[in-house]
Amino acid sequence: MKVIDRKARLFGKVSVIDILIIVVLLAALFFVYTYFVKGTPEVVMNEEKEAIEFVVEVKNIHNDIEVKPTIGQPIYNSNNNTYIGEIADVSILPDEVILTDYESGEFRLIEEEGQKRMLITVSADADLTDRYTLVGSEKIRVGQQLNVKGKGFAGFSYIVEVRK
Amino acid sequence: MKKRRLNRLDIFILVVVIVIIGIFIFKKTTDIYDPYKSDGGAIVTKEATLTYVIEDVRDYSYNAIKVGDRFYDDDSGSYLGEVSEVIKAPYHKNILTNEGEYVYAPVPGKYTLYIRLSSQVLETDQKYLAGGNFELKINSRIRLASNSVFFEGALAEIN
Repeated sequence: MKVIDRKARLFGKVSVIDILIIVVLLAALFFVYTYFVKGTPEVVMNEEKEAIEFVVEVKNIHNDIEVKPTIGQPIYNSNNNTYIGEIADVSILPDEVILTDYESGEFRLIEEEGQKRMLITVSADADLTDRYTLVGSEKIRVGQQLNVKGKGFAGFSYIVEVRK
Repeated sequence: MKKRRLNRLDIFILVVVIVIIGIFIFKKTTDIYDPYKSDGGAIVTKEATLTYVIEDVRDYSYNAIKVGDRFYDDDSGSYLGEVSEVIKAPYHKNILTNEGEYVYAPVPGKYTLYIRLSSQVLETDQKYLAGGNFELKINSRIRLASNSVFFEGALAEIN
């Protein structure tokens, strides 16, 4: 059996024209959804990039785990492998936790035994728009979850500081 | 001429075309605000101060907000206004103690922020709009964002 027969049907069943029509319609549907439902994507206005630094915080690292990000090495978004910059500084601090004291009716912020947290300062070239600070396609802003990975380490992290 | 019945593919194509046309017409007629044809009542543009409350955030978020920062609704991209003031207050939560009493206690290291935005608000008989077509509703929660910070907050006041 031919792949495409004389009547332009794929394996004698579905017409190639029909498939083409479906693809075009789905593309149109995607376009309409993107521009009329989700909103128009941000356009980067300035072509010159600006050097920025931002800090990501990795919490809940077990004390027995030796995490050693190396200064100067590249760092990536671990969800999509996007390059987000170069490690400029690393500091390891005791982790903190808020506990509830049901006797006294107080919340207490204490150092969490057996856990540490890591602050990684990343230097990168960013596109600054009115709405976004973008490194590649990553939005760099405090409160944004940005899971990171570098050579030999990874962490579940949030951005806690942006320096422009 | 031979009459042709609609097959499944024809129906699928028809449905997709109708959905596309439907979305297009719906968004064109409802989303884009036209002050001359909607409501039929008085339309006034006013300088307004919008106060948003953001709870349960750390110092990092407070430090990332500066007077003059421009804030947007993160989902729609609508411009809301420029920061005129930020107030930081302790964040409180209830504890049910062993004695069975509720204590509204401050949470160390956590804050409630009150962000005031200077905005241009379009007021009609039925609604308040900012950024052209973004409806402002007191007590509605949105994801607020500037180009340095983002968090979830509730609109507390339109002044």
